[in-house]
Amino acid sequence: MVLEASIKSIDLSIGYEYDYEVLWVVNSINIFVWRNTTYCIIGESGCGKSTLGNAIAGLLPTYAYTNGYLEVEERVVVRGDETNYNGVRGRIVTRIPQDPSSALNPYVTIGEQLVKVIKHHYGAGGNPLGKARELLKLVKLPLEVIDYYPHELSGGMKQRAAIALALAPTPKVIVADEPTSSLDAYLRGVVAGLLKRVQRELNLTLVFITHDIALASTICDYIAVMYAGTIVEEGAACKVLRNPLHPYTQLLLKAIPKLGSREILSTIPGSPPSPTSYPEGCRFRPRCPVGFNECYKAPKLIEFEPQHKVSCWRYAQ
Amino acid sequence: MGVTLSYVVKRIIFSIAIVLGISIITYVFIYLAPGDPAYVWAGRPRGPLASEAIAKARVELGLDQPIYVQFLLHVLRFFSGNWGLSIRFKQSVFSLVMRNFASTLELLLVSFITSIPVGLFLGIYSSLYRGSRVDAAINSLSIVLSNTPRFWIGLAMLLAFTSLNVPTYGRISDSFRGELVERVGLYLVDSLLQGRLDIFLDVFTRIIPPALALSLYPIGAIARVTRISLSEALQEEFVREAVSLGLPRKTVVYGYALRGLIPSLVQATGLFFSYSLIDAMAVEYVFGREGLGSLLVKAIPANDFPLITAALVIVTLVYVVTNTAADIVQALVNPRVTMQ
Ligand SMILES: Nc1ncnc2c1ncn2[C@@H]1O[C@H](COP(=O)(O)OP(=O)(O)O)[C@@H](O)[C@H]1O
Ligand code: SF4
Ligand SMILES: [Mg+2]
Repeated sequence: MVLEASIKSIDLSIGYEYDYEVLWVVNSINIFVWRNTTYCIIGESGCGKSTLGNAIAGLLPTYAYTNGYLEVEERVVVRGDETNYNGVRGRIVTRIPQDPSSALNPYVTIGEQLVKVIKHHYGAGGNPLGKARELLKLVKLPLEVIDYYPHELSGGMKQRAAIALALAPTPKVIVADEPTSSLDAYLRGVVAGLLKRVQRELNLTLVFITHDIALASTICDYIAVMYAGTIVEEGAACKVLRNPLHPYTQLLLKAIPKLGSREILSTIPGSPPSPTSYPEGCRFRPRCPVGFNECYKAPKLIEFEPQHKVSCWRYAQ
Repeated sequence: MGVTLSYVVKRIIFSIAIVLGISIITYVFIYLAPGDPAYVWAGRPRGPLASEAIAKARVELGLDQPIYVQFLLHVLRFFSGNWGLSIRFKQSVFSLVMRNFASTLELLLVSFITSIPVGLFLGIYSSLYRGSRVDAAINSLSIVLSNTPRFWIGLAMLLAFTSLNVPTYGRISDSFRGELVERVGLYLVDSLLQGRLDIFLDVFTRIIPPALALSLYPIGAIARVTRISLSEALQEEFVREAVSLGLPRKTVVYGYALRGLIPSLVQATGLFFSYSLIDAMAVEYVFGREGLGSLLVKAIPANDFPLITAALVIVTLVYVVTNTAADIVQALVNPRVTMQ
């Protein structure tokens, strides 16, 4: 197996048009995601995780603006202000939304939905029904589900069906945008585990977006921590989790509830800034417990050790 | 899909209740209104014998009975299919109402056959290009269209066509009226059944201007409903998922987004259809066409209560039928809905 880039961005920025001005909510992001890995993007809500995920999946709204460069599976999808996702959506990347079951078309049976997508990408000749059955088997759903409407399935079955649907065009990359946040603790684990297994079995690249660092730690190979539209720390999961460098990552890890403990969680005081008012310099400065003078200038993402980058003045030589 | 018996029963009970309600209200209003139906029935008599004639007429019409007896008798007769005689026209109310209803229905059908596709097209287009200049233009157009008084537009059209020497006044030319054999009651259909293309063309040229005047409101209203609800539907997660799965835009819009809109569009269209009945009355009057509107205009000053109730009941039934149709379409389209 050759290790190659599945997703690569250079100074990628994304903004939305608000009343004749563009609000840049993702700023100069450089990411590099290896094929056949699980890459987690974590951070509080409003940090631009979904925006980045949608840029990868080709789901930005028409009023979105781009800058920089983004490549998915060797296809250039963003170059400057031009985007081109022709032939990328479906065949190369699909997305699993926040509540996966909402991805199912309520008016059509599971089988029809799968067959429609398979037929569109592979024609009617390739035994679409057989492929639909294989997909159900892969996500461990009984075959009768083919004839069911979404509302006839249980919550857990819907999640599985939605994952099967996202796999139907045989994508190489799956962007799962907080796919578990609407679920209870049990289903959360099940869905994350299923995604991880599918990623391994089908040799996919899984971009897993979450604000739940505990969940991320159970499945990811690489972690990117996002704050206020930038990546503040990135690296191999074991390195980032064992040796968190950025004060924000350290606080996120502290906020994880310990199993069985009834102790009140330490949450990070304050909330992320809105894109209308990003602070000068380091954007975490107003909330940072260890900030100093240097922090009024913007830090750069630098390599601290192999496979571990951080953007914080404390680690700048 | 399940259209259950209990749904049908409920609908029927609902319709009967509405018809009863309408009858009560009409009765009360007519009872309170100035003017005396017995006077009209007796042929507006004058002179020394007038009061005797009016008293006789009052007995004939049953107006000497207490009002609740009158009402009960009226309702019983109504539901047994005996709608009585019109006080003003001294003809069978049933055939009067049906003949005029056919004329109104024909006008409304022609108007909606054009306005539904045009309204849908405008709505879909402006929703897909939301925020563009075309969208803004369509949106202002639809607001203007749905707010211009139809009476005024009707008059303007009548003047325009008349000055162009196109005959648009009346439903059919007088010379053809004797020749047309009425079967369905819709002259466009009847003339074709008879194989008379000349009559068809005459009826057609006369119906187009009032139908156009009537269609402005539904075009604007349908366009606006479509634009708003399609824009919402395009944001639905399963529609965005269809985009993410690489399905082509056409499939996404027509196969996914629009499908969920069908029930509410049918419902809204049914509602606009019912509203248009009211507009039709003004437009019919301007264009000198027979119809429920002109009929009511003539019936009301005569306190012609059998005719007024019957006409209003027909209007109500149109409303109930379009609503029921909307429910059935909803159940056909949406597997989650069963009709109870
Ligand atoms: N479709 C959109 N249109 C306009 N603004 C958006 C849209 N999506 C997100 N935003 C804005 O972009 C910022 C980042 O949001 P998002 O990418 O959803 O972050 P996250 O997924 O981390 O919560 C927020 O300020 C949000 O209000
Ligand atoms: S750069 Fe300064 S303010 Fe920002 S995280 Fe590091 S120490 Fe805190
Ligand atoms: Mg999000």
